[in-house]
Amino acid sequence: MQMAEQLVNVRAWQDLFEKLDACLGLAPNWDGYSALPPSSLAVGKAKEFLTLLRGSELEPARLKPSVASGIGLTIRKGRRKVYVEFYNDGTVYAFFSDGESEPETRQVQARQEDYLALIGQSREYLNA
Amino acid sequence: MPDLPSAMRRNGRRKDRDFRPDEYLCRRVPLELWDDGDVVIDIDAIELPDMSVIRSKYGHPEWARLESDECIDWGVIGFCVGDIPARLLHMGVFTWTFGPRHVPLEENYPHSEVWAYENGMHVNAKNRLDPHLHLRWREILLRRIKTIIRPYKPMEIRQEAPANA
Repeated sequence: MQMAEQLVNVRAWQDLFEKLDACLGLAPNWDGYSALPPSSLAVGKAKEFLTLLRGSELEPARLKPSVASGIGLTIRKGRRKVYVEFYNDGTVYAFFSDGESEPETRQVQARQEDYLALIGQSREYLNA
Repeated sequence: MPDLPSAMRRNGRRKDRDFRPDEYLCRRVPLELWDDGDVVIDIDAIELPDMSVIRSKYGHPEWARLESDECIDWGVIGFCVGDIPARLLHMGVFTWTFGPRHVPLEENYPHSEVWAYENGMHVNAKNRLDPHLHLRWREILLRRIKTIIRPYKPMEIRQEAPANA
């Protein structure tokens, strides 16, 4: 990878972490309805996952606050996606979807080995 | 707060529990949730239980932007009543059903909600919704959602109620 390309990549990842910090500044009902802003617990869990994701070849296509009160992270390849939601109470759930068949959901324990397992499963699913 | 069309106010009108499958339900989505330079949303913009919407029988999509000055540039998404995933089986045992409910407010007669029911009982507490079920329902609905008004798109606010009201 060229140095300029590497710098762009570093900047893009920094932006994602900054985006997570910015979510902490959202006001209650930020969605125009009744969503709570993401908690520092949810943002912390999302950062831990993002740190591990950075070491893989996967990149998030989308990282947003969720109206379900937490943080949502989407990884996509073609029509397939893996969505991970980090809730304000510290729990983490994910699902795998091809846009047609029934989404397959799972709970993820918020710890490094489970995050790494999810990243591995995501890579496998997205490349299938 | 923007001026509300008088047709948006309840004015003593009764609840209307009759929803046709082709009736549209619309919901505003904040600017934060639209992908940069693209007009797509993801399930982070959809929630249960009691998801607020405006029903097209009595309101126009742009009325969803009239909640406050802040919302006036927000995008609006929509889906048909018949597109709501109406029934999901959870853990092979529990039957969850979902459907629209007219919940008129004094200043927003078209206001409605999508309710969730566990074995026929309305569930209105987030913590009673199993996250697996919640995610599945949101993803299936997302596949049927359309963008009705793009974020920042200027829209004239229609003052009259829809013709079929």
